[in-house]
Amino acid sequence: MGEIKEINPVTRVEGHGKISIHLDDDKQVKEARFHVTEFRAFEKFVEGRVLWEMPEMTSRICGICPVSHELASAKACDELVAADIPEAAHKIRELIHMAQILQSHSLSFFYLSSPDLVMGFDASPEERNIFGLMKKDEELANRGIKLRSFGQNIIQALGGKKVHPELSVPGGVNQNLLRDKGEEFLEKTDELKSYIQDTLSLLRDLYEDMDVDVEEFASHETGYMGLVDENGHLEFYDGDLRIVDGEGTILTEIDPKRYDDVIGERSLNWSYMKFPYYKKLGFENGVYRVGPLARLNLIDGISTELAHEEWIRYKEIGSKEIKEGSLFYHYARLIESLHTVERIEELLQDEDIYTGKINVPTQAREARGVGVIEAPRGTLIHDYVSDAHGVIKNANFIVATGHNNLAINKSIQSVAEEYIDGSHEEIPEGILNRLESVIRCYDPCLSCSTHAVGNMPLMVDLVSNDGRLLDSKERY
Amino acid sequence: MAENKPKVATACMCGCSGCHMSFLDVDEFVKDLAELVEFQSSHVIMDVKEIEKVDIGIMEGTITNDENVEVAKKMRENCDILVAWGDCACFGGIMTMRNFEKVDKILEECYLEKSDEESVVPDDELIPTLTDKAKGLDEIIDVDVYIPGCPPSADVIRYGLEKLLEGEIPKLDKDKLRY
Ligand code: SF4
Repeated sequence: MGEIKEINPVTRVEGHGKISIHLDDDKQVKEARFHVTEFRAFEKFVEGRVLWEMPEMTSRICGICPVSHELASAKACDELVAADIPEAAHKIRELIHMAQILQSHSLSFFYLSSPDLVMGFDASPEERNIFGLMKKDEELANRGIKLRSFGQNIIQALGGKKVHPELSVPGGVNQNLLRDKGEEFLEKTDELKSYIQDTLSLLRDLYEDMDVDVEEFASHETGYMGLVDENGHLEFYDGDLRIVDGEGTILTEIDPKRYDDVIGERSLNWSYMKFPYYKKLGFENGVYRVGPLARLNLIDGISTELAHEEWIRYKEIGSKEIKEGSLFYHYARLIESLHTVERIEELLQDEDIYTGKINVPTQAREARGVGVIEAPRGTLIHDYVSDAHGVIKNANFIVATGHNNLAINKSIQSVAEEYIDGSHEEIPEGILNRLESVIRCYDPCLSCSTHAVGNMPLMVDLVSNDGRLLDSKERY
Repeated sequence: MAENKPKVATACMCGCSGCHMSFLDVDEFVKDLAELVEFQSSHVIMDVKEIEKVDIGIMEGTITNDENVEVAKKMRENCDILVAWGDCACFGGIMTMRNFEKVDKILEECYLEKSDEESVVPDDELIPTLTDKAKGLDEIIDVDVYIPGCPPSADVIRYGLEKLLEGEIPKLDKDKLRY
């Protein structure tokens, strides 16, 4: 095993994730693993803090979707203190959440993924990034910058800062939106909607020209999980937790507070990220996906007009209504972005946002509180127990990338099996390309945003049956 | 011209990526920046075989495992000016809250008590080992410039970079020095 250690400089480069491919005696792929190499201990160190600190503290779990953590946390805390938050607070939280989904989706699509799609997987690494995109298709890059910045500006207007804003508190929120800010934002929505629609049609063209089969690429059957509203429509802030199978048949639909009736968590020795699974089917068989692809597979519709139309069109593409191919994540992400702008528009026209009552007084008690929300990358769960003084006694988090963990491993396995056969002592070039794009489809949150200005580094180890490291490749 | 552009590398240790996100909040200024500097991104420090030097190395996040330690040292070796970016890198930040407890105990509680019965504590050779304490950057390497904030705002980041490009060490006070 010493040999593996020696080549470990490869992993040094990015403290976040890497891939290893394990071969059997006949040098066939036995297993492919996606390792999360970082551990941050939030679940432990929040114990002993008081609940009022939780939203601000837990938002530091992620700088890309801090608002989602803040909201999931605030929702869990509302329950700890048995607060029935005012209608206006609910709407203001939804507004900041929509802004968050939009900025994060824009980052993922325009800054991180579109360079690959527009310039091709084989473009040189120096070009394949947002700077390259600015040269190649300035308009597209500008759209991305504007969409992201619109979302960030709403977040700042409500929470004082763009990253780690302070808006949500147990019992509600701490301010209304200023009316002139609302008007300023409303003026922009039409233009932003057209950006997304134009990008959708560009994406449809790109899919047609791609050298991989969009339907087949990294495609495998899994279940899907996400929130739905009372009409079964796309929902990000509140609602029931729905799980469907690979055909779209509903397996379960429950109050998300009971998530642990249906979701189990397993930890394995080779990754710091746990592997949640659907209990009824057991560990591994109970693999499911979350995030844009999953959400659009499990809903009955979208409440806003333009996004709904795009969703109908999306379903008609290809041979199946349910989209299995991981490349469809990008498409789904854009449709959701369109919905967020439409929903922001609706909310900005609601008087409650500007003048409604924003919070209620809170009092600690012994309780359990579960807050569930759809973060950009999928279902996010915060689960706390407090004592009579409001001190947190226990905390559990399941983040979106966690839910996808088993599926990411499966996707990698399928690519590895396809491109590696008995003859390999080293990792074929083609596989790096493909693995990289599989990972990026899931937009895993552990991916450090450095990639926004460079490229996602990918580290792959090929390991023989006796644990020898045969080959190790890195790529930027 | 292209040849003489100062080179910049950024790296993320154990952080939330928020500092990097805040950097993107300079929005359109990203385009000007692309003209002013050459982004080597993280890969400069990563390729141990052909080490490329950069002028400015920027680091986000806390030191929490042996890999972070190595990345920090590599970055120090390869840059002229090293910038600790955000509270995590400057002082250790939120991650230091784990320092009140022993690492083994934390791992056991998070992985054994909060998962199903068949779960184990991660300890594979392919993943890094945690340091016993979470640390700010200057507990491991020398730091030249501190830009605190959680995260520092885009304006502060922009100011800091502009000053560095002018050859000055940025002075952060009043408005620019905020949580
Ligand atoms: S300083 Fe704050 S924003 Fe930056 S990495 Fe640390 S927690 Fe995230």
